[in-house]
Amino acid sequence: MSTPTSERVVSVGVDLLAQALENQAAPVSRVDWRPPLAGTEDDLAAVALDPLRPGANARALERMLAVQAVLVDVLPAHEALGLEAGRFLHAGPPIAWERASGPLRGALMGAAALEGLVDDPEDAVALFEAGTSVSLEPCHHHRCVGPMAGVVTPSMWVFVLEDPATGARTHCTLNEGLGKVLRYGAYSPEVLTRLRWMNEVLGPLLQGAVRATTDDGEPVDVTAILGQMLQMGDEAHNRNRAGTLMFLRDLGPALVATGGDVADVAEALRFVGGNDHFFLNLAMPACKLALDAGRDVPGSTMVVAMSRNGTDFGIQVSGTGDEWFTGPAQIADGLYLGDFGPDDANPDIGDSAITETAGLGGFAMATAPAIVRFVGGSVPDALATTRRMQEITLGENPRWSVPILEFAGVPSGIDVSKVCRTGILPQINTGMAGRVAGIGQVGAGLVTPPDEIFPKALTRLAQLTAGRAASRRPA
Amino acid sequence: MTTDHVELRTGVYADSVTLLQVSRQVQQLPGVTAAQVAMATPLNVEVLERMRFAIPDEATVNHLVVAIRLDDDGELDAVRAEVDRALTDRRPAASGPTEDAPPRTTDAALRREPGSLVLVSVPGPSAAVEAMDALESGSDVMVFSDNVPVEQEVALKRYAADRDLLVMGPDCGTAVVGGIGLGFANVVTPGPVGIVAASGTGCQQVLALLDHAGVGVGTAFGVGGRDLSAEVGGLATRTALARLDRDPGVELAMLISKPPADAVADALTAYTGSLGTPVHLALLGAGRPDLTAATEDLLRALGREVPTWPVRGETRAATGPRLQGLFVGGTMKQEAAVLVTAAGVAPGAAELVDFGDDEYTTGRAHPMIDPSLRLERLAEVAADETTGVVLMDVVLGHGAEEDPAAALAPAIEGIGPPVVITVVGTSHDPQGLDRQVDALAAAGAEVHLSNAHATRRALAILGGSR
Amino acid sequence: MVHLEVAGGAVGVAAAGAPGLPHSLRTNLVSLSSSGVPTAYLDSGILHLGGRALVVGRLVDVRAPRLDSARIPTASPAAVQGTPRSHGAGLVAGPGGVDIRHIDVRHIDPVAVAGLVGRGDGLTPFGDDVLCGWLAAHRAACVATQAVDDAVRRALPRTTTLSATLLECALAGEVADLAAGYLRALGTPSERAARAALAALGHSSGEGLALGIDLGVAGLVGRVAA
Repeated sequence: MSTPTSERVVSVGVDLLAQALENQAAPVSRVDWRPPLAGTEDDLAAVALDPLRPGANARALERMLAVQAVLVDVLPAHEALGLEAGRFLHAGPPIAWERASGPLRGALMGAAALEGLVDDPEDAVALFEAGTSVSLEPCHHHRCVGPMAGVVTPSMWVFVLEDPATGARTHCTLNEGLGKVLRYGAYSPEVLTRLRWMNEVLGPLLQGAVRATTDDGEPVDVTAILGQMLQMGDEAHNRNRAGTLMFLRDLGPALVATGGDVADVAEALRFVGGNDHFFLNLAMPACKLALDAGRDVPGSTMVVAMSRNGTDFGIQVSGTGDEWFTGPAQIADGLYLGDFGPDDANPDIGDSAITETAGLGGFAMATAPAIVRFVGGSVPDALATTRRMQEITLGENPRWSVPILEFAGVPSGIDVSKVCRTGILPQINTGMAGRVAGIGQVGAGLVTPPDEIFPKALTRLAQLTAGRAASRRPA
Repeated sequence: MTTDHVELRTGVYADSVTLLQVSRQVQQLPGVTAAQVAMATPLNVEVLERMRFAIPDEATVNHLVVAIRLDDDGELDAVRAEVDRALTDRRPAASGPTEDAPPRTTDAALRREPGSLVLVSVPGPSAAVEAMDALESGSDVMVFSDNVPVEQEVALKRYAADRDLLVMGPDCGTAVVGGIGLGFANVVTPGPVGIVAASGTGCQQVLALLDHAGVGVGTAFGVGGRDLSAEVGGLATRTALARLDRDPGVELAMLISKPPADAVADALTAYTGSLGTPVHLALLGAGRPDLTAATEDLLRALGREVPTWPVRGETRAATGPRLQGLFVGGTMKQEAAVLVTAAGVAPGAAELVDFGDDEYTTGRAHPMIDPSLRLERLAEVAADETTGVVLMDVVLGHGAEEDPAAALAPAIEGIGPPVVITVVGTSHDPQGLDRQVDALAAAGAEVHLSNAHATRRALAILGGSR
Repeated sequence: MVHLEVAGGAVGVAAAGAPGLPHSLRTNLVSLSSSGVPTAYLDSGILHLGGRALVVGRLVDVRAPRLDSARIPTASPAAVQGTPRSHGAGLVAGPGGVDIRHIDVRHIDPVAVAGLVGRGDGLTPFGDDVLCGWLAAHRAACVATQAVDDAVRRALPRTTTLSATLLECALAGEVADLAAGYLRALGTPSERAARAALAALGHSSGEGLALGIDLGVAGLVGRVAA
């Protein structure tokens, strides 16, 4: 009997040595190793050898995967978040008006008019330049996420999602539809008219329906719908068609039973059913709820937020608390509406990359091959994308499985170390906003984060590791 | 001057992504200044109107709008034909990877092949990261890479020791695990001896001698040159010895190393005493048995006859006062150095160089793979009239040069000083032990299997000239 | 698996993943030949097959693993209780017209050997497989079988070249990987799975080997030192 060790060998490095194994008819798997992102070797080794890391990552992933998100209420933001007049939440890492991009400015201007701070959105420019009566804060700092510009103001109604096991909550506004909408930076009268209708009619109707489902003990289970929609061709970022229809199915009867004005109910049903992206604003806070559970585990290299404000792309990591690691947001590669082109597009914007952070969107591309055609790709490309994301993630989510990949769970828990090691960047499916305030949507496509933010996060993780090691050593 | 063409088609439907692609194709045609092919949804109609196309009022969401703006060179029929073609032929060629791309990290490879042994030979600064992937997945790992900081080695080995996993290395050149040779390894006959070695070429020397004696080796674990240092404390050596002890096929174990730190030696001695399998120590150093002597002890313990170690070729008299040792094996050089010192050779009368040392391998392959640097030095030494005798080693086995004698034999043929060579190899090595020995002997070298014997022979030749 | 006749004996060449036999070269070739029967020749001790030189890079341990008394059951294994029984296709009459079911395989002695060698279908007749298994069990337990060995050697000319080679391997204590796996698993929780894996080898070879090992082990009860 020989000493128990596998006969199969994984060889990483010099091919001559793998060849020597093949010459012995030993089964060899070769790793396609390449040097890590420049300058990361020392930090990678420090983090790899951090005694906390393996357990911390397992814990962060486990907590994230355990979360169940149910829809428990719909409330105006001032009630749900305690948001007061003059406070504006926005997508992405923190940013001031001076550096804000066109679509973010457009959305802030429109929202200022919606809140009655100005009559004409154009007048809001002076308000934000002065900055005395208004403040900007990231949604992520308030248990909230917003697609594209992600602007949230006190009067806007938000979905309230809760994890029954912990009582933790997250929030997101109601989706306005496509085209000329506030979140893409449009602020024309029709945009504001729609938002007022949503505040006055849609929000209260949804509130009544959602409260009826919770009173009946059958709240809408957003996590479960996400699992089903993945089997129906949605990746829950750029395709939410099946999810939206299932949401209508689950909430429709209660909506009708609210006793609201029949014409209003019909209009609400038509609005939700006619907006294929309505469910995105439920998918996002569900992902946020899961990832928030994975926050603040010392030693964990798991990304808990990826987010863009139209100027900066930022990530937060479980083991580094609330710190943002930022770099310039990129322009998506994709298809443009009408005669818009790359010159018209604003850099990447929105909190919606929270879906990719949780293993959906670009990470679940294999289940939504239609999306890959935004860049002229093919179905094999979609499969390859999901497989490629397996290279940079800690595990799989058994609740969200991809039939075409033998029901493998979506790749979940982006590992800062693995991104730096492989140079493989998270693949994000996204919409594109016009560069100029007021334009609205100009296209959709695929984008990645700027690669320098992962080494920045890694350096911080390595510093924290070194600090822990120093404090363990006897003086 | 441009002309617009707008037509509504019914009974046609395509999803928006497809139509965006079709539009983009049409926009790129010669003579087209703008084009949009879209279902007439309110959003799309708005987009078209902003492009200043006039959309008929009867357009509904069930109409496909083909809107084309041509300059003077544009030919409408040709462009419409292209629209038709693009609409019917819109499926992209199935290209790209249909099979799994190769894994990019050790972790990814182990997810596909759980339980595999891992061999790491990436540059030193990245080695610990890949090795840690192996350990986290519950796999043993051999780290061939050098230039791995000792604190990283300790961290890896502590993690492994807590989980009964084995870290062979860093800077581990040789191992035989489950019959498979890893790194620079010789083809060995399976048998009752198990080896733990902190020295790659030392291990290879013992494998070669045992092979000649007809004794097989089941397993040879490498542990890396620093494992028995005070910093590392023999962490991997303990695990490796425990593995051999649990293996019923191992009758005798041998530990090959430079002399360990005193505390490590004491602890390991106590540890080997607790094992059921006898452990022979081969610790190189002044006043200790050389590898050949240690191998002879092992053979006697097994009840085997100690063979005569083979020598081939004829010698010449020394041509000068100095011994020039040109080695590719670090342990071969160290063993020779101990014997040279013990023989009382004046420090200036012997120069021993290890061409596998970091100082010679930065930016180039190991001399077992690329012999050019040593051959250059051989030519210089041969032309130096103070050279009395040249002592060299040639290491065979997997990973090494395909035919080392092909370059070395012509280089020693006809040179002045006598040449004594140790060829470290087993009878089944791919280079052909006999063929290599014959070629070198035919070129005028005296060829040994035992490095200790070769060194003593070189010293004797040198002594004869005094 | 390709078998070649070399110097009066057989040498096997196994494709990647094929079960290892004691006389075979294991390769990582996905297929041994691009089309039809490959050409083969020996040159300077190296076997060339289908245009490829098969240089030996590793010597595989094919020795029967050690079987100590602790793993030998106190009673005969269930597989060899009772009277002669059908073992399927492997027991059907061979070219000589002898049905092996009429031979009592429970007692292997020089007389039984004469009735077993070369009996059965195919390249490795069933009777030979049973003997290989029986010999392997005794080699594993380090129990000498001189009289049977002599009888097997005398009978070798009566069987195929391949089967004679495998019997010679068995006499030298060399066994198929799956047979080694079963011997290693005897008396452990994986015994049943290892036997099933062995029994699935080839057409009837695995059945014969497994039966032979069971017969051998049954005969060893009480004869192996602790």
